[in-house]
Amino acid sequence: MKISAFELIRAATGPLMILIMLFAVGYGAVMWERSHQEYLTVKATSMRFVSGQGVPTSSNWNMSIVNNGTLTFILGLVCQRTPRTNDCNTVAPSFSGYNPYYLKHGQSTWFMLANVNTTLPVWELHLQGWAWTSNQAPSSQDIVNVESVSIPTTEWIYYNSTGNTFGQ
Amino acid sequence: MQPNLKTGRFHRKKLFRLLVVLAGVLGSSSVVYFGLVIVLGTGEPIVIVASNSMEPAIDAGDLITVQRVASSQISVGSVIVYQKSLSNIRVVHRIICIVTRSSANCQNPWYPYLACFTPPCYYTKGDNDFAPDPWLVLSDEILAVWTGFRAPYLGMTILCLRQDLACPSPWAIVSVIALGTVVLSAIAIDLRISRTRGKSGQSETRDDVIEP
Repeated sequence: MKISAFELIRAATGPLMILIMLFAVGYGAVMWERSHQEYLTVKATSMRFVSGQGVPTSSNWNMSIVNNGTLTFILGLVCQRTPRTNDCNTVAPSFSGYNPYYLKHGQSTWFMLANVNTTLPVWELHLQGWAWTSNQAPSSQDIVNVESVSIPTTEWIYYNSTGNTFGQ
Repeated sequence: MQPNLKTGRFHRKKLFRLLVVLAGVLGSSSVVYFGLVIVLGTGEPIVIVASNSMEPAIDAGDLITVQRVASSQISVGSVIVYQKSLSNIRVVHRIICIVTRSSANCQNPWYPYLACFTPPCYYTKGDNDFAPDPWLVLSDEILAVWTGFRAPYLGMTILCLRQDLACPSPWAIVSVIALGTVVLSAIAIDLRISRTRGKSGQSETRDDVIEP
C-alpha cells in the first residue's frame, strides 16, 4: 500500500493543529499567569507592649499584620523560636482563635502574642497560613478542611525590639 | 439502489478507517504510557507542575517525568515528588538536607519544632521559595524523583482543559473553545478535501468513460 505525500499531509493536519493549539494555550496561560502573579504573604506592621507576665523576660504584645499578598490568607499558628534551646513556643492562637481568622488582600488585623520571650533583642516569629483561592469567604468548616488537607506557608518575621523594626 | 449501496459502503469504509485511526492513536498512547510506567518504575511517571515554586528549574505548567529510585540513591539536591500523609496534595520540591540515624547535614535548624523521630527525614524547599517547607518528609512519603525531563506549557493546557484552579482565570474557558475550534476545523478541512477529491475522482471516471 503506497501512501502519497498528499495523504500524509492530510493525516497529519489534525494532530498537528491540536498539538499547536495545546502549546499555544499553555504558552498563553503561563504568560498570563506571569503577568498576573498571585502570591501569599503577610507583612508585620507594628508591635505594642500590652502587659508583663510577672517575670522580666516574658510579656504580652499586640502584633499587627497586613495581607500584602494577592490571595486571601487564613491565619494559622504563630510561634517564637528560641535559638539557645532551638525550640519554637506557640505565642498566638491557632486559626480558630483569630478574629477575623482570614485576611483578604489589603486587610489588616491585630492579635495578642502571649508569653513572648524577650531575653534576646531580636525575636524570630514563624507565622503559618493557608491560601484561600475562592471568591467566596471561607466558612469555619472550609478552614478546618484547608488546614487538614492542604499545605501551609510559613512567614518568617524578625522583630528587633530595641529598634522597633521588622525584618522578613 | 446501486448509488445508495455505494454510499453506504463508502460510509462504512470511512467509519472503519476512522476507528482504525482512533485505535491506533489510543493504542500507541497507551503503549508509550505503560512503557514509561515499566521503565521508570512508578505508577504515575508523568506529573504536571502547577506552581512556580521550583522556578527556574521547573516552570509552572511544565509536564515532567519522574522515576522511582531506592532511598539510598536519594541525596541532597534531588528534586522529589512527595505527598504528606493526611494531605491530598503532591509537592515537587528539592531536598536541602537529610537527617539520618548517624548524621544530619542540616546546617541550620530550619524549623525547631520539627523533630525527626524516625530517620531518615528530608527537609525540602522550592528553589523559588524563601523558606523551606514547614514539615519533614519521611521516606515512605516520597513517591518519585524527577528525571530531569520537562515539556513546557503542555501541563498548563491539561490543567486548563481540566478546569483546574491552577489555570489562570480566562484560560480555562479559552482552552475548551480553542480545542473545540481546532477539532471542528480539522473535521471541516478533512471533509473539504474528501469532497474535492471525490469530485475530481468523478470527473476522472467520466473522462475514462468518454474517452474510449
